[in-house]
Amino acid sequence: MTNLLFAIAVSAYGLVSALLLAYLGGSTRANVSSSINILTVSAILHALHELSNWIFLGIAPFAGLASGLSSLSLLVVVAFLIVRRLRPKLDVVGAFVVPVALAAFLASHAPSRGVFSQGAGVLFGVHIGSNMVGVASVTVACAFSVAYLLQERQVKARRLSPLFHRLPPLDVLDVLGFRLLLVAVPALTIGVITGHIAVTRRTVPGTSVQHTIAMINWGVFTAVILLRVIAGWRGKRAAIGTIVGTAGSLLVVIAYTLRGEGL
Amino acid sequence: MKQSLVVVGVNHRTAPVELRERLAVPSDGLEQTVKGLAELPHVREAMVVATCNRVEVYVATDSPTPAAAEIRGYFAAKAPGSNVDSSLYEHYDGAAIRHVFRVACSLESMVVGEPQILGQVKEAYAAARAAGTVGPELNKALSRAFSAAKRVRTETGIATGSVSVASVAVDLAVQIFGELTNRQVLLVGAGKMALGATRALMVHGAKLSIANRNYQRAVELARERNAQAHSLEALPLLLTQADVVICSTGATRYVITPEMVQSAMKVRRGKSLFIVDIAVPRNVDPRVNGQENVYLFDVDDLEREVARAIANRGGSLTAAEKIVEEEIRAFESERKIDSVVPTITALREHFRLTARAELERSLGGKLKHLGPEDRKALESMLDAVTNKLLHTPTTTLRAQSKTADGLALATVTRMLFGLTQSDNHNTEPETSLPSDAASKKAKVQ
Repeated sequence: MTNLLFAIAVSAYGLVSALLLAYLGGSTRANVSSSINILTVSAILHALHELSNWIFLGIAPFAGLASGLSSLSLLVVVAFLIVRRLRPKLDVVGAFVVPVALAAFLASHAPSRGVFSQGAGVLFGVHIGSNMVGVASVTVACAFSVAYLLQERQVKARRLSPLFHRLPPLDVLDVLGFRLLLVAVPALTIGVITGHIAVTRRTVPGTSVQHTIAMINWGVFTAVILLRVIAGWRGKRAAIGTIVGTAGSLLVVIAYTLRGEGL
Repeated sequence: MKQSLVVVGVNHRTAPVELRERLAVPSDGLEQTVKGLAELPHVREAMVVATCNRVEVYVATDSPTPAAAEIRGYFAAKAPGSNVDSSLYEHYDGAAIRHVFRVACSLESMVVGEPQILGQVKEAYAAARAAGTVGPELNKALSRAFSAAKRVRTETGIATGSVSVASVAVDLAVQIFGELTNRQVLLVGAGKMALGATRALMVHGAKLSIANRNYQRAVELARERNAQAHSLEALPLLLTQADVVICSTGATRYVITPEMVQSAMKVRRGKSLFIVDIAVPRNVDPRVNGQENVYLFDVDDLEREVARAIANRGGSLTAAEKIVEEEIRAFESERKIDSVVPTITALREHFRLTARAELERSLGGKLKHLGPEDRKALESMLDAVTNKLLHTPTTTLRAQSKTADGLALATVTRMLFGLTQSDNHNTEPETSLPSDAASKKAKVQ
């Protein structure tokens, strides 16, 4: 049952990724609204997969590395589906979000070497939950930033391809990226604090290197927000900052997954 | 002698904006320019269409090639050392007529279907008429081109949607800012195209400020558009507040410099600034585009958008092209008929005068006893006979005028009946030329 749900959800994510990327590439056949409908169905199937894992296999969301990645990918998709309702023309940003979610979802199914400590407690749950919310938000913000840079490059070069008219407006991408960071940074702050406590108490496995990288990422996101407010950093600089921070965050998640060790 | 229409010029496809700037003719200089052109040895009629995207000289001449060479000389003198010759194109006769029709119908415009070009061609035509350099050839071609343009606009959807510089500017603004409600639009100068763009932006809810060198003019425009008026000296401050800046002044140097924008961007704290420079010569230093969050588009940059507009309006464009071709065919047909009209008129006049002369002779001799009613009846009978006799030759000449043999037949008719050019009476179409154009008209004939 869970494997079937997984297979269908993965196929649906794959189809949505292909459709949205084809649309961005200029295809007139790819229909964005149909893609979003498929994505919504995929997210429901994904949620059912999480639920069946919990009910039938006893694996709760964020209970381990695999379920953590799976839950993260679902969170990313849900975050995107919520944000896309805020402004028109945001659907196409799914072309950058869904492949990342798909990769995380696929990775969650790989044989995992990492197992969370038994009885890690509430602190661990808060740590993982807040980090996942933060990473999901910055992943979507990163997608907006990538779209922003693509868009900005065309406007600066004054050579507008069909992509220019398919992507959302520059200011919309910039503002929504910023708002997502405003959601992500508090969540990541909680994640960093609880992670620090967890590592200190050794209630979860972890390395100081991964924790340091996570701290740096948190610093990058905080700096992007502060520089925007204080020094007027907008647009390209903010987008690059978001991408760098997100890459770092994903690096921590990947390291976490591959090494099977804590933060 | 047969007059040919010749067009020589540059446009946005053949010449970069830097060259067009040098060849540009200001609106108030059109009359003087066409007068100068009409003085060229082989030019009989002249008109200059000068927009930000094209500078074209239209002439009627009996020596097309030498006339074209003279116009090339005129352009070369305007932009010495620029190698303008390689950017110039020439059209003769049928191709020239097709060109003027397509230009007037906005099919040659950078933004196909944009409405400004028709007004600009009409302005050029009015200036040439005021200068007395329009004769029958240009008059006929332009009149027909204007009616073709009217048909294109009313019978196709080519004028709808983003087919003007104004609407393209709005599209770009929307793609940069999203919603335009309450966005600040600054109009620098008072060019027609720029006013059109600001109007379109205001429809989207943007707020307008107008800065002009002539403050009084800015106040007048602001009053008409519910906007704020400023003098050009306030530009540095206004740049800190505007989201969209549309430049269209007649200045020959940059009005907005990189330093000015750099200072403004510090105050704006990185807020995006979209600048549309639709002036030729350009008003905004191109280096401005190098600054972060500043997006500058000039008239040439809009060409890429034109291609998209053309693609989206493929159906309307095809319909417009069809109308233009129909109008050109009708015009060519009229032109051919016109070419035999002097012969037909002369032939009829020849018959009528001959019959009248014979009648007068008879009425003064053997028929002098006839009363007024009989005389009148006799005159009517002779007119009827003349008309009946000439009906077939007239219709044949008209019908054949549309074929290659038309002119030859007209020549033969003239030879057969001994018709000369002086037999022509009232064969030239009405041109409504002003009286001060009389001397030029004589030259035309």
